[in-house]
This record gives sequence, structure tokens and C-alpha cells, in this order.
Amino acid sequence: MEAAGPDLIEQLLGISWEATWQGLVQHYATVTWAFLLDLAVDYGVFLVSALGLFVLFAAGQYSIGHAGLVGIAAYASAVFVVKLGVPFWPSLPLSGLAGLLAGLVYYYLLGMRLSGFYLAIATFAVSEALVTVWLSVDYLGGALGFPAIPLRSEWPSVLIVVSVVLFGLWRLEKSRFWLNFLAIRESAVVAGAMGVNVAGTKMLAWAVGGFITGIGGNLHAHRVTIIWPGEFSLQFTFILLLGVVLGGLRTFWGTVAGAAFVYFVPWLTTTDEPRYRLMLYGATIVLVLIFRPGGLLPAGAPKARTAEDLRRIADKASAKPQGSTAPGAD
Amino acid sequence: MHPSYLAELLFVGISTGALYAIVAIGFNLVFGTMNVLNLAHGAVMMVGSYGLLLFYFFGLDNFWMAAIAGVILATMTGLLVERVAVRPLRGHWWNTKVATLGAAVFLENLVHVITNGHPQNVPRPFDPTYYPLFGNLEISDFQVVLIVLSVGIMLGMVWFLRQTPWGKAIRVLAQSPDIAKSVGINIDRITIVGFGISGALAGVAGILNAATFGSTYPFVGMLLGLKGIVVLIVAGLGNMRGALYVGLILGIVETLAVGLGGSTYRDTVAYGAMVIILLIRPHGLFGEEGRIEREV
Repeated sequence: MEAAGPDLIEQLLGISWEATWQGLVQHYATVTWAFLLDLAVDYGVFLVSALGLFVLFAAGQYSIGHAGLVGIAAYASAVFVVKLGVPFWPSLPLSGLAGLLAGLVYYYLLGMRLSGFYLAIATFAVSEALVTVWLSVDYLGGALGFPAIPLRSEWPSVLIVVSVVLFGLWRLEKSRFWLNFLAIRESAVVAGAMGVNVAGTKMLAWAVGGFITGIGGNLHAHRVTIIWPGEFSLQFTFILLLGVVLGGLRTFWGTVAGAAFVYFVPWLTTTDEPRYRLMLYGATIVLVLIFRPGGLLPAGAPKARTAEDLRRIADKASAKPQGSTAPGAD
Repeated sequence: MHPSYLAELLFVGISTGALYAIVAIGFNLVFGTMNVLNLAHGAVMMVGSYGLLLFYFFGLDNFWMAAIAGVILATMTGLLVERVAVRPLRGHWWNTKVATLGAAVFLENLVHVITNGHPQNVPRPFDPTYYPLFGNLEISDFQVVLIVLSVGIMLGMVWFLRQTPWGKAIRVLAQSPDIAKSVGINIDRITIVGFGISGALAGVAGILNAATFGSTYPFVGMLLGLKGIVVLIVAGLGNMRGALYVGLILGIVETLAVGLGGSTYRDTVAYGAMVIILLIRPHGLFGEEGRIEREV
């Protein structure tokens, strides 16, 4: 044991700091605007699927098989575009509908009956089973993958889709439905006692989450141009999950931040060696959660729902005849 | 089909099933005490098998001593996971799952980097000799040792949980933390004991698995851990006896599926059966109707 300090670490990990530093310098030297744009488009594609998962999480439908749903949508869009000749833009709402239907199937099969951890594990099992199904269906390309999907997820289209989805979520978050989502996430029993339609709200969450995921899957298929079953497996689910949870469940901006963290941090810190990247990944997740246990943007009551806001809403509803609430009175 | 082939499948199935049961009981201990699903359990198993190799690496050549070293290393890793990825996150029940998953990814890739990703050969305690039983069925004394160990440890855990004061305290805590507190059980200490034993069990499972297959690799815990979760869910969360039965059944069914069908459908059989059982009994085969996951 003559080696000590950094030398020992270098030997153990089989890396040399010198080479790592050189690699980092080279890594940054080769970064171009085109590369960053590519990365940003990849991020946008990923973000849409993550936002679909976020909607499910907002309603307490904790799924750890979300890659399966993304895969359904990706395969559906591939079939629409390649086999049936549907153009790219009409295929977006179509695959959204496919995702919506798949979400409803998930709801009737699992979401309606199971909750909490049982639901999470069941979604995982369904997702893994789907991979074997895709592997054995020759129409979808089997293990070789579904090739020759046109590359249409360039920055203008991704920017448009992401903006529309974010706008939709922004409106949704201001709506009554969102309060129902949060209510059944906190406690389905209490929410039901307060008059929330628990089953309907869950179904709505699966439908909306499925629709957004469907669009995300479509973008994904048009980004990678060849999809194969193995990619919609545990690892994809894991990254989606991280994007949502690391950001915190308070608003969808949490997912936007969390997905950015998940997507960019590995690229900014490491060279092309995936092993170090994954190692660093795990450590970063644990560190982030130690210092911010609720995620980057902490979970909790939505900020806009203070007592004052509620009073303002109540006033607005009943104020017309009284005429007592002048602007700025509160 | 020859009956001796069936007997051999059953034999292998029981030893696989005992391994699954040990894994599931390890999950259950942590789930029972803290309501935390420790997704780093599989990584701790892997650490146990590499602890065994580390002992050999330092030039000592004794399988059983090395196994003890591996179990100790796994126990320490389990406690470290509790300290780093579980205790700081109290009150954020979903995030503990992500944090333990992060810990698992870190541990697995750390070992992957250290060992350059090559699968490592695991030495066996002795060279197996084969004894013919009947027909074409041969059984090695090594297999017998593995089965006796697996089943013995499994039964030992059941005895520990049912008969000893520590085990009883763990079960009380699993039933209700409030009652545990009110009868004077030190919850923090029991939690640490639970994580420690869980880590030790993970180490045992990892070593048994490595010795069975004669090799280990950094991601060995992933699949084994998932099987443990399947057993856990099908049996019902927190149910020790159910985990034992379901583990054995899953091992046997899987081995039969591989032996009679083909290895492609092994995992599909397990996962498909799990979803169907969950749809019929949403709280698992042995789970109680009223028990839901507490949000600690």
C-alpha cells in the first residue's frame, strides 16, 4: 500500500486526472452552436414526454413505466407516418389521440384499481411486458427496430410543439381540474369526501397525461428516426422519472427545470465515457435530494392558492351585486 | 418428458426461489420499518459479492471468511444508504425511492468503473462432486450446500422475526409506528437494525447468487432486485410469510417456464403473472385489505 491520496484514486478508478482534464478541455473546445442547438432540440423532445409524466404525478398516479406509454405513442406515430403515409403535422394530434387511448387503457386496467406503490410496480411490469410484445411483432420491425421514420423534429417544429404544450399546461394549472388533481394526490379519500369526482379526475389525468405523452412519443420517433423496443425500457423510465421528481411536483416549471438538469448536467460535466457520466448522475441525484428533499422547486401547496387568493376568487364570484371590491382593496 | 428432468427443474427452482425469498425479505424489513422501498437493495447485493472478491484480492484464500467479509461490507453499505439517501429525506416519501435509485446507479457504476466492466469469476468453496440420484438426475454437493444455506437463512429470518425481541420490535414498528412508540420501542435504533439486517441479507443473497453462477458483474443486482420486488408485491407489502411462499413459487414457476418453454419468456411470465394477480387482489395475495402505504 505505497500509493496514497489522489494516486490511489487514480489507480482504483483507472482514470488519470491529467487525461480527464484534457478530455474536458477538448470537450468544450469542440462545442459548437450547432451542437448546442441539437442538444436543446433533444431536450425539448424529452421535455414533452416528461411533462406527460408530470401530469400523472400531479394527480397521484405514480407511474414508473412511463417509457412504455412513450413507446406506444412512438410506434403509433411511426405506423401513421411510414405505413399509412400521414404527413408529420396531422400525425401529431393523431399520435396524441393514440396516447390518450393508451392512457385510458392504463386507467381502466390499472389506475382505477390500484394506487400508490402497487400502481407504480404494475405500470413498470406492463412497460416491460410491452417491450417483449414489440420484440416479437414483425410488423413493427421486431428487435431490429422500426426504421426510416423521417427526421422532422427540427428546432422550429419542436419549439412550436413545446410552446403549445407549455401554454396548455399553464392554462390547466390555473383551472379547477388542477385543484382536483392535487386534491386526489394528497388524499383520494378526503378529496372524495369533499365532493371531488375521484374516478373522473383520475381518468382525466390519464387522458391528459397520455395525450401529452403521445405527442412526446411522436416527436421522439421523428427525432431518432429509428425506434427499437429496448430503448423504451427501464433506463428511459428512470430518466423521465428523474426529470419530474428532481424538479419538484409543485408546478410544471419544476419539470422544465428538472428535465433540463437531467439532460444538460451529464453533458456539461463529462466527456464521452458513459460510465463516469452515470456514476456522477447517481451521486448528483442523491446530493440534490439531500439538500433539497422536495426537489429543485419544492413541492407543497401551490403558491397562488393562499387564503387571500381564495378570498379574491370568492369575492369575484359573489362581488357583482355587492360591488365592494375595488381594485387593489386587498 | 423424463421425470428426472422434472425433478431437476424442481430442485433448481427451489434454490432459485429461496434466493428470491431472501431478497424479498430484505426488502420487506426496510419497507416494514420505515415504509421505504429501498431500491438500492440490488446494488447492496452486488457490493456483497464484490466484497467477497475484494477479500481474495488481498491475497487471502478462504471462501467462508471471504463470504463473511462480503456480508459485513454489504451491511455497512446498507447502513450508508440509510444514512445518506433515506434519513435526510424523511417526509418526502416518493423522493426516497428516487434517492435510493440514485444511490444504486452510483454504486453500480462506481464498481463498473473500478473493475473496468469485466464480469469477475467468483471462486467456489470447493470443487463439486456429482452424485447420481435416479435416472439421469445428478446432484452436486455444492447445489445441496446452496439449497441448505438458502432455505436455512430464510427460515432463520422467519424465526428471528417471530421469536426474538428485536424481530418482534421490527414487526410492531411495521404494524404501527405510533403503537411502537407508545410501548417504548426506540424507533431510530430499530430502523438502523432493520437496515443493517436488510443489508446483511442483501450481501448473503448476492454471494449465494455469485457462487451459484460462478461470476458476478456490476449490474447483477438490478434483475435480482426486480424479482425481489415482484415477490414483495405479489405477496403483499410487509408480509414476511407471504414473501417466503411467493418467492419459492416464483422460483419454481420460472424454472419450469425456462425448462419447458424457453428462456425468452422467463421475465414476461413473472411480470404478467404479477399484473394479473394484482388486478384480482389489489393488495397482493397475502396482503391485508386495510393496509395501504403510509406516507411517512
